[in-house]
Amino acid sequence: MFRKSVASTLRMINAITLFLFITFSTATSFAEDQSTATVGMSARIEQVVLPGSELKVKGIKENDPIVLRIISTHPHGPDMLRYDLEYYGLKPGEFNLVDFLERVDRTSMGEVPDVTVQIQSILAADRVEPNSPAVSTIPGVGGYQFWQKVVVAFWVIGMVVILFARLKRPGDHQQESLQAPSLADRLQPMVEKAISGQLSKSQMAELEMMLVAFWRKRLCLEQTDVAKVAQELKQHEEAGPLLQQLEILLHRPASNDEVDIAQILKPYQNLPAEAMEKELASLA
Amino acid sequence: MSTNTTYANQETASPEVLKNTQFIQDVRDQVATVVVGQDEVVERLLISLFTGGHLLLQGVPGLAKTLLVSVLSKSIDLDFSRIQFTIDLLPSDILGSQILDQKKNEFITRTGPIFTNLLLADEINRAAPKVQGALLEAMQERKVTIGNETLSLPAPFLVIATQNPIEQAGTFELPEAQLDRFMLCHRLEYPLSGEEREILKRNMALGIRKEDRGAVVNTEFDVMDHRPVGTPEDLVNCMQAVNEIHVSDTFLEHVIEIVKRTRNHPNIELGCSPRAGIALIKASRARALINGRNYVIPEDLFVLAEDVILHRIRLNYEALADGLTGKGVLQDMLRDLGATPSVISQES
Repeated sequence: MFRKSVASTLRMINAITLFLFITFSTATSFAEDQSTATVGMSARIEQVVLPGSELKVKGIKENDPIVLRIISTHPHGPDMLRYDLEYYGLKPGEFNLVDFLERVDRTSMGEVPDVTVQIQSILAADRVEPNSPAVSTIPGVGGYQFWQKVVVAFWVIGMVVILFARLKRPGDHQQESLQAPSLADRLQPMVEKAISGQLSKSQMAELEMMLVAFWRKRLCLEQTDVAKVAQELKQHEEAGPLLQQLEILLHRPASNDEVDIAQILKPYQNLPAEAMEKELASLA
Repeated sequence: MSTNTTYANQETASPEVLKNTQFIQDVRDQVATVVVGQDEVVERLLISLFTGGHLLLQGVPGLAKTLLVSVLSKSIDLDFSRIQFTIDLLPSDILGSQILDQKKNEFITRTGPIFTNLLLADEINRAAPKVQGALLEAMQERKVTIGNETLSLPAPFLVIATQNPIEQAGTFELPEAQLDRFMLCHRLEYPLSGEEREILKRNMALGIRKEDRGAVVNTEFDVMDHRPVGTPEDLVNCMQAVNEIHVSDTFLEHVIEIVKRTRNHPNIELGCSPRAGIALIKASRARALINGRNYVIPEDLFVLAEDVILHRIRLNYEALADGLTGKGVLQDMLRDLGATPSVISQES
C-alpha cells in the first residue's frame, strides 16, 4: 500500500517536472524566436508597448543592416501604443529596432525602451567576404556593341546603294534613248541604200516595216489595232499610194519593171533625220 | 479587227484568181442570206477550207456559229456534222466503233460523225482529254483506226471547234500542243448595232409553219437556201489557186521576223513553233485569194496575226502579274515591227 502511494507520488512529480520543462523551454524558445533571427530571414516581435505618440519606420538607407516594418498599431492605455513589428537583418549583429523608428508627428523620440534583436549569421566564422562589385563605365568605342553598330550601318548603306542603283534616273533614261538609234536615224541610210540598190532582201523587208511604222507614227495611229492601221494607211491620200507602190515592188511577182524604187522613196529621202524626228516627236 | 468587203481587186488580180473570185463571192452571198455580218468569220472559214487547216472559234453562245458552218457546208454541197462535246462523251462516239452483226455473226464497223467534210465540234473543252486527243489525232493524220481497220477521212475534212470563254468550271482546257494543231483561233465578237438590228428584223419575219395538226416556229435553219452555189470541184480549184499565190522573199522575211520576235519577247514564255510560220503563210495566201490578189502583202500578216499567233504563245509569270494580256503583248510586238531594229538583222 505504501509502495503504491510512493510510486504514484513519483509519477506525479515526474509529470509535473516534464510539464514545467516543456513550458519553460517553449517560453524560452519563443522569446528567442522573437528577438533572434538569421541573416535574410524575417521575424516578428508582437505586443511591443512603446510610450509617446505614434511611431513609423524611417526611410531605408543603402547600408541599413535591418529592414523593419510595422504590421499593426494599437492603443495601449494613456500616451502609449502597442506595436507588432516585423524585421529581417541584412548583416549579423545586435541592433536596436528603435533606432530605425521615428515619430509620425516629427517630434523627438524621448525616452523609449530598447527593442534589441540579434541577427545571427549561419556562415562560418572564417568565411571570405565577397568583393564589392566594381562599378565600371561602358566603353564608348569597341566591343560587341560597337561592331553591332558598324554592321548595321554597313547593311543600311548597302541597301540604300542597291535601291538607288536600281532606280533609273530620268536623265539616264533620256541618255539611253539618245544612244539608241531612232526610227528616223535608221530610216535615212536605209532609204539611201535602197535607192542605190544596195539593200538585201531582209533589209528591204525591214525597210518596208520601218515605213509602215513611220506612217503609223506620223498619222498618230500607234494605239490603233495594227490590222486596222494597215487598211487605214492604204486609204490615206499620201501614205496609201506610196505604200501600195512599195507592196507591188516587193511582193507582186515580176513587178520590177513597173515600179521605180527611187520614185517611191523620194519623199523620205528629202526629209533630214533631225527634222523627221522633230516632226514625229511633235505629233507624238 | 475588220476586213474590207471588196473581195476581188480587179486591177491586181490575175485571170487564175479571177476564175475563183466569183465562186467565193457566191458563197459569201449565200451565207449572208441567213447570217448577218460576221464577214470576218466567213473569211476565216473560207481560209480554213482553202488551206485545209482547222479552225477554233472562241465566243459566247448565240453568235450563229452552228448556222454559219451549216450554211457554208450547204453552199458548197459538203457533208456537215455537229457534235456537242460533253464530259461523258467517249472517243467511240466520235470515231465510230465495231458492233456485232447478229445475222452474219461478225463484227461490222460503224463509222462515227467524224466521217464528214465539215465537223462542228461544239464546246470542245467540255470533253475529257482522251476524247479531245482522239479528235485532234484524227485532225492531224486524217485517218481513223477502228478495231483493226484504218479508214481515211473524207476530203475535204475540216474541223471547226468552238470554245466558250466563260463558264470554265468543269472544262478541260486544251493544252498548247493541241491548240497548235488548229491553224486559226478566231475570237468572235458581238455584232455591230446595225447588224444586230438586221438580225432582229429577220428573226421577226421568220413566221411559223404548219406541221401535222399543229405548227412550229421557223428558225434560220428552216429558211436556209439548200441549193449549193458551188461544188467541191470549185473548192478544189480554190485550194489549187491558194497554192499558186505568190509569196515574196520579203514576205517570208516578215514571217520569220514575227515568229522570231515571239520567241525573244521578254513577256512571252512560250513562243511560236515553225508550224505558226507555216500557218501564217498558208492563211495569208488564202486571204490573198479571197481578196482577189495573186500575191500576199503585209496587210495579210497584220490581219491574221492574232488568229494564227495568239493561241500559240503563252505569257510568262511576270507579264501576267503585271496584268498584261496576250492580245496586248502581240499588238505591241506588231507595232514594234520596223520601229525597233529587226531581230534577223541583229542575228546576222
